[in-house]
Amino acid sequence: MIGAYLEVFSLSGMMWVLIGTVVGILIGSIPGLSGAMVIALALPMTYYMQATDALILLVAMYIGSTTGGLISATLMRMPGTESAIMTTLDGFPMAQRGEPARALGLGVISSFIGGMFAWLVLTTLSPLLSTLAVRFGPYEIFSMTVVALTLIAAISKGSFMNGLLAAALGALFALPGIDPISGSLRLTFNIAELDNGFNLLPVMLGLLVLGQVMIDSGKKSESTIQKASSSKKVTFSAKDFKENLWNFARSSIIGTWIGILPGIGGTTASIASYSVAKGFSKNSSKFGSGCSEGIVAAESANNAGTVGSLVPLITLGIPGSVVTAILLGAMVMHNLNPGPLLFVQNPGVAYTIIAGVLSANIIMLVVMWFATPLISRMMYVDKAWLLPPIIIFCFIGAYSVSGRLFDVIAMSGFACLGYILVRAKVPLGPFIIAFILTPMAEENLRSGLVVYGNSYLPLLTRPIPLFFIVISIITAVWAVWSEIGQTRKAKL
Amino acid sequence: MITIFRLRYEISFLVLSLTIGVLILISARGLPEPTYEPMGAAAFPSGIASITVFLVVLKVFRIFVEKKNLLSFEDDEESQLSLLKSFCMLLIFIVFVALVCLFNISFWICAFLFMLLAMAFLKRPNSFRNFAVQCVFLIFFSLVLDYVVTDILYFNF
Amino acid sequence: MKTLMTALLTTVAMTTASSGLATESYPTQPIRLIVPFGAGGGTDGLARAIQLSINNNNLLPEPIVVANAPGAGGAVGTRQLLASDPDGYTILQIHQEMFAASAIERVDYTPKDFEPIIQVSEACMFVAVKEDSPYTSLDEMISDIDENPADFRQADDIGGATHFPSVQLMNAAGVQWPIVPVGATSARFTSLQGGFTQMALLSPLWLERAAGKIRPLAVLGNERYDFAPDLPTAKEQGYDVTACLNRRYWAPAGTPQEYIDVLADTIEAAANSEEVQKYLAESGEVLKIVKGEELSDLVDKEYASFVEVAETVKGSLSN
Repeated sequence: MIGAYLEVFSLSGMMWVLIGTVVGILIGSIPGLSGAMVIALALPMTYYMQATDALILLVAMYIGSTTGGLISATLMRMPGTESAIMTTLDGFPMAQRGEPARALGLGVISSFIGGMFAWLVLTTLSPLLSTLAVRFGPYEIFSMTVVALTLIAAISKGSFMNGLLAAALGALFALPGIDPISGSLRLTFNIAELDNGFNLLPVMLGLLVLGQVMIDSGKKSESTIQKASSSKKVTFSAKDFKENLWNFARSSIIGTWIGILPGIGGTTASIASYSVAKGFSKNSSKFGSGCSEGIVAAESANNAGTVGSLVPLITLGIPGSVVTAILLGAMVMHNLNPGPLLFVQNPGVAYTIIAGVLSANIIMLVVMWFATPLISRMMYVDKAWLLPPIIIFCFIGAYSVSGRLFDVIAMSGFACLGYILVRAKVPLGPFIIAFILTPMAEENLRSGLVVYGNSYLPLLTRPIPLFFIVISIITAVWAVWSEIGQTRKAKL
Repeated sequence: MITIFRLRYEISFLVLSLTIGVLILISARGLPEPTYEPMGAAAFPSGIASITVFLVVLKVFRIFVEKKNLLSFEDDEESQLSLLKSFCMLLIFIVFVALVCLFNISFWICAFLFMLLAMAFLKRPNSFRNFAVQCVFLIFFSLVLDYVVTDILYFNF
Repeated sequence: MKTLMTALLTTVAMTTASSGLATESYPTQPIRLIVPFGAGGGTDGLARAIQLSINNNNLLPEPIVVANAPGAGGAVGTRQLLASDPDGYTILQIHQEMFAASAIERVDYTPKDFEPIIQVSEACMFVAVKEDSPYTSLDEMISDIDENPADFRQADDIGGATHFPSVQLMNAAGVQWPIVPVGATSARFTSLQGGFTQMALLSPLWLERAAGKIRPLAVLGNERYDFAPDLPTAKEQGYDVTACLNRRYWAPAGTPQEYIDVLADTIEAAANSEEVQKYLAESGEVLKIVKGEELSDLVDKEYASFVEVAETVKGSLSN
């Protein structure tokens, strides 16, 4: 174990981590290019590398790209990677208010804390937690997604109906394709390209990035972003830290746990953590208008989730996400046998990954710490220089999903939809959240029915589903109640 | 009439939602009976589509009832946005996609022309010198992108 | 004008000549190998190992490039092959998932629309139960299902390549059991571990990967695994069912036979190289080269066996 740490913290080990982290941050920060894409590209190159170097390079890229996503999410309201979707909600308003450095600083520190917490869990509790995670069955996951879905009501403030409608629309767009249970096609309208439904990447790029590009390029005059006055140089203040102490801990725990669940991932982790943070917060009405708590919740959770998803990978050999599947491929390629016996047969490999996580987290913090003041100036760069390259990157990103024009066309369509939604003052968050969570909810509910002999009863007799369902009912009732109250007040 | 114009985005959103909701509602009826579990492939689509249609109806009702609230103001952000400019940008992008994917013109040429045009569209070049520098830079950038697209990602347009 | 005409004609003549020449010197440009699944999986792994071997050992004058086109259970990539020109410059690597998709008529193409080039590997599934399961043989499992049909479930992927042999197993055993759609082998393993399902078909690499967590009951192949000689086949236990995934290379129908031969020979040479052998050993698969006439017959026979149980797979069985 010490040997593995020494190897990772040696000069050549640090070099690979540095390369991986910086490349990850760069690619992650470009809207259109995703972390999964660069890791998939790097995989064949690692054939020529030593096994340990290859693994730490890929792990560092994974962590770097999750963090990098927050840069464009904060400065331009365009998520650089999928897991940064929730960061746009509070990061951008704060940056626009004239505090881009603070927003970025908060995001970076949160990412670091989330990552470090998950690393601690990874080193100490991996085997225990992974056996717990596999017991999280279809109904458990279904009820968890229902809790996360109630967030839709929470972030639709001021336009409750619009939020619900956007969510319903997002859910509808997630349905075409292969039915997750019967394996037959549905709602494809005889369009062969719709066999696979709409991929998340083109939908996200269209709705959140290209749509935003359209809005930005339609501005008649130069937008007046306030130049920061005194807080310009402050990247992180003790006050922010103190206020969010409990938030850091809670979001890291939620993020790590959801990351450990096979097949869920960092994006859902940040959705869930954001909704919980809002539920617990004293100033929940400020969420979505640039409050520090929102950034902390989203960014701690997505990095914790990223690291958490390594738990089932190194303890059971189960890849929980696209990226961990690639890491598993890298292990097979280098003749390392992933699975429950990894710790027994190749403990060095397991500890190399763990040490790689630690070192990538530290290097990420150092790199971002020095780069943040510089990056935050991008806020003031003329949009005319940024938007056209971003559009090209979106094109490349959409086309790279599986090399077909259809995804590019879909992206353009979703850009128009995003434009209309924004102009109609309909929040985009509920749309994308419902788009991500609905298939997960449907698949788990229906496969749960098969598991439990067509009975819905276990949803109420098993403790975890019951707990989640009670929470979601309370949240939903409370949301509707307060909405009715507000409308009444407005009328009076 | 003015009301309708001011609400043009809301109305397009509602019409769009209604169309998609009804479309999915209709095609969900044609889905086979459930075989593996009691819900079947049609349950979620019809459920969510019904909710969508219901919400649209509710929203339309509210617009008529609360006409006054909606008529109150046009905020400044609204007046700062131009639909035409946004869709021109999209149009330039679509032309770029068509040139690359349908007419098979070299990626770097299309990317260069696209970025040049889009940048000029967003901000008129103020001096010839700057324009020339921009061109050189964009050609270089496009060539790098071309390399990535053809030799690393192996796109086959 | 006349000179222009001559120039044009010469060009045309030259193009014809060069394309005529191309038959002898194929390939003259990189060959695109479509992998219809994501990076990091088994299909991707073998394709990249083969690609590496061909390119490193200069088995072809032009390189092979791998393009991942995941989606719709391999249908997105397969359609790209279908749409490409039969000129030998676009090929595909896929296993029986292709038969599954066309047998249940989820797609509008059949294996007849493609030309098989070569089969490289074979990975026969095995029947796995959880380590603490009461079953130690197929017979015990089947007779228990007979008595308590309500408590038994299999983790699989409805309409997927392993669903077909699962139905064949049900037919051979004379009992039916529900299938819980969970997805790929790693998800099946997760489901077994969680106790939500009782049995799953896993690929051979899981025998080692999941050692200590699962108990194998039978190999669904014609022979026992080399690395696990004590594990009997299903056939030895009285159930004549095999469930093997064979990674095969395909070209669009109408590709000239001499190109197919060039490709088949090159891929065979690559498959016999040390790198690919090492990769196959690590991923629990065995080298099993089949090509030419023999391969076409095998494909026809196998596809027919998929179509035979397609109706059952499509959903006449319910809980």
